[in-house]
Amino acid sequence: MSLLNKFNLILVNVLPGNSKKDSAPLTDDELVLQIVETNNAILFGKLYDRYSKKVYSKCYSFSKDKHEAQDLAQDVFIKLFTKLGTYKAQSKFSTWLYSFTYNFLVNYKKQDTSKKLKERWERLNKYDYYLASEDDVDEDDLFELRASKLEKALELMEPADKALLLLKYQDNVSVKDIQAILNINESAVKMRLKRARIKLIKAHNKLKD
Amino acid sequence: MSKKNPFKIIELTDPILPETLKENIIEDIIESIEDSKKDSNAEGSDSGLDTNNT
Repeated sequence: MSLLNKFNLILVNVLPGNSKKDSAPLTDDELVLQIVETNNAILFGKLYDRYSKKVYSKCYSFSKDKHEAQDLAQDVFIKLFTKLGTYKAQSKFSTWLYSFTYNFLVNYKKQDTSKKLKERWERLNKYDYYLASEDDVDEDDLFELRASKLEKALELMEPADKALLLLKYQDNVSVKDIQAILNINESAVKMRLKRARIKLIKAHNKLKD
Repeated sequence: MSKKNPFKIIELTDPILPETLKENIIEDIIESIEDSKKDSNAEGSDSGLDTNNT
């Protein structure tokens, strides 16, 4: 029997009405627990249904290519299945998943051997020490940036900094949750955010209108 | 009126994903589960042989 036939056969058993639990949708945490306990790929499909668009959007924001983003999203979900057991519910599942996705994307980008990209990161990173002593950028100033220019400025940034900014300002993850996810203290999170904000504004200001 | 957060504006809100993406993921996972089952069965057989040999 082909894998897809098996897939369809198993799917019949999880269609609405065939399960007692369909009346009350599982919370993310309950669903994750069931997937981890049963190792059930079809249940994992439900988690995919909930988060595929978010994960794909994040992949697209790092690749800007539709097909590459789909391949990345596929790799993220396959890796996610094997790593679900490491989710300890210290933050919301969605927060943990976004961080997991960004980690994957940052590592993926690190493998990008494009010389031009490397040089650009090195040039920006050279100013790290200098940036730490610079005045912080007001969050309101970030929200004044034009979306089109912000997108281009983010392209110029090191993936880890870009991921941190997206986690904070796009996904609204709190400093406390970032602390838990990155396993660093509050002041370290704030310092990284401050550096990332300054780098973003610098990259933004270098762009022509 | 407050401005909309530009980080939110640049986020793709409702991308259309091909159905095959989900199928590929599920197939890959089922395949890897089956492979690991085969591997563990093979290990079980090996250890059985070892026991018989000793």
